[in-house]
Amino acid sequence: MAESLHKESKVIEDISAKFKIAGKVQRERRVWVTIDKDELIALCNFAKGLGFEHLSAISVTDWPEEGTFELTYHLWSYSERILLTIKTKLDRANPAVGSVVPIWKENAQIHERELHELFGVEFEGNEDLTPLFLEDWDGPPPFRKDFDWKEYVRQQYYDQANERERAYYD
Amino acid sequence: MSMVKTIEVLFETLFSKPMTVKFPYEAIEIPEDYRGEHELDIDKCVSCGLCAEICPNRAVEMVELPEEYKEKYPKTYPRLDLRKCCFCGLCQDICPRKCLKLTKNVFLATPDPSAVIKNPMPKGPQ
Amino acid sequence: MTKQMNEKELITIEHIEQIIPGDTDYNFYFGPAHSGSGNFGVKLRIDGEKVTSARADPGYLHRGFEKLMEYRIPMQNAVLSDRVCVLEALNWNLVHAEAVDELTGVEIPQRARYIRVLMAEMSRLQSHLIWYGVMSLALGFDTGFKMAFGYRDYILDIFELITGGRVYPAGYICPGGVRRDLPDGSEDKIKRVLDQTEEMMQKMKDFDNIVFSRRTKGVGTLRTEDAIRLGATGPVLRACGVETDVRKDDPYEIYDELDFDIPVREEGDAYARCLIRGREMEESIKIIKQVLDRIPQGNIREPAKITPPSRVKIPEGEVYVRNELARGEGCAYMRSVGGGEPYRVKLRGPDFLHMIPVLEHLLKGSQIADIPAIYWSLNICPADMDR
Repeated sequence: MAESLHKESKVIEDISAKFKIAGKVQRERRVWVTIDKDELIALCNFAKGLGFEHLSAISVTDWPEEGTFELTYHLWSYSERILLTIKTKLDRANPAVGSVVPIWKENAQIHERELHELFGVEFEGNEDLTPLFLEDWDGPPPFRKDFDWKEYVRQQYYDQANERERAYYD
Repeated sequence: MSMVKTIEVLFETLFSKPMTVKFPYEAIEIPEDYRGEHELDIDKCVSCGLCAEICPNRAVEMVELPEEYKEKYPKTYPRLDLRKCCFCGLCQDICPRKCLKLTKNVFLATPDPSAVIKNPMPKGPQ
Repeated sequence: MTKQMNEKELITIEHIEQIIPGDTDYNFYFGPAHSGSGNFGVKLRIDGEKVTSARADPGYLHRGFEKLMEYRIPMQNAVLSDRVCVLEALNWNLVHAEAVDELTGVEIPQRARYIRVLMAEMSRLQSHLIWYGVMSLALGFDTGFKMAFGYRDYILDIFELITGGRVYPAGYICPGGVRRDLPDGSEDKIKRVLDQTEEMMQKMKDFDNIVFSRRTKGVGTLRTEDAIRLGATGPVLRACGVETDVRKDDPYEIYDELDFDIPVREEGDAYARCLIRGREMEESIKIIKQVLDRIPQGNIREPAKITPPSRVKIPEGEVYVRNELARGEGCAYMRSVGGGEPYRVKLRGPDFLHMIPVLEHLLKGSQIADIPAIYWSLNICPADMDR
């Protein structure tokens, strides 16, 4: 087992030699590392240098009790065939983080634009964060956990006279 | 060269059977396991409510029968709202007594709005 | 002026510009409710016949699946995952089911794994047939459209037989396995449909030179480094000379036991993308035949009965699964905190990047007449971009 995960351990070794962080090999071809938000851009740059040139996705997980947003960057290396996930935490009250647009260009740009709209995360350095999916939206960022969509929909769209809608709202 | 091929295909298609069928007169056979209109065997139903619980669209609601049947069927039984139903068949799969089934009847379009709500009804003469 | 034109005997853009200076610049809205574009719009700035800038305008089909999934248990989410992309519902079923399976750590019965791959490849075949249909329609070749959709219906008949629905399998590939076993005699029916699909592919080859090559050769060329930078995956990336396929590089289910090739072309233009898809259909048929030969007997789901919603628990953890869809790389990030519903689901569709950065890049500098060819050569599906 240890033999077959040689590639994956090497990636973690390379990263921990430079950034003093520990990583975890989840299974074959899956490597997870967590880093402080200040060092995120430096690590992303380093990862690109290691061959992680395909940014597969960026995702945000909302943790309202902790008061944080967790960002996950999923990177794929075409040469090494490893998926590296970089995790970092942001303060929920001030969700600002450096943009990775200089590293992955248009690809990162569009992911950040989506997350800005759905979670309200600020990506400093991304010039175009105009709304992507939602038109004329004036509510809070809709994918946050504390956004009560049931209440929002009830106020905006519930037609009390329609018998059929009752099962959904009551 | 390619033009010759095209004309060849053209002639082939001219004299072959069409892919479509003349619908009201003939139809493509619908397989037995098709997910169509629901059928409830109320005598087998144990009112467990799992169908209402698993329904992703909340199209199933457990209701009581009208007064005249209450004596024989005192519990609650699934009522289906076909307007909400996505015909996923999870209710059929989860039913412990296999009394709720999806049949192969697909002709569900109707001008009558009340017909799309299927109340649980005892079988036989009503 | 007239004399000058007579000499050249050809009116060019420059001539028109001389006659009406500045009046050749206009806005052009491609979509969103247009049969040639799907439910998606592109705002184009056009100078004469040339596109000077393009900006994608998504959101027409946004349904918020990622949020919806946070309120439903995995079995219900499997039904929901059909809708992520209508044209390859079974592939998205597989993405979702794999994410849940990796979290729960359930050992999937071997027979279910084979059925999953079988259905995913059938779904890839019909998705490519749809692509061939709309691509033909976009190029003004109606015969191809009708033929492709006709042959696709044979595959839908198989879906109807096995899953109980033609287009929406309703979570046929569900967490833990598949929902139903293959009915008796379905192997023979699948083989017959494969023969019919091969017949269609022969026709595709015959038509190839007449319509496709003339409209697509040299159109919408994407260079390798651009393709990687813009996040292109799947057939679009393979048409640019990158030999990559999630089924080989990051194997899931039983793909590492199967023998198939990755078609690659160097040109990177729309024609190369068309040819790649044709070759991929051949590989899919190869895979289906191998699966049918080797499919073992046994259970189809673990646990065999559906757990009642109140007792469903997803163990705590997070996973990221990657699958090769007909259009490119489809991924799901799933995070669970131990409840019945996932805490967060992120779906990453291939068309999110194909339809925004790649399309904008390719349309810039192209001719109006080439827009449909470029647009459909990417084989896009607005549903999985908007989610």
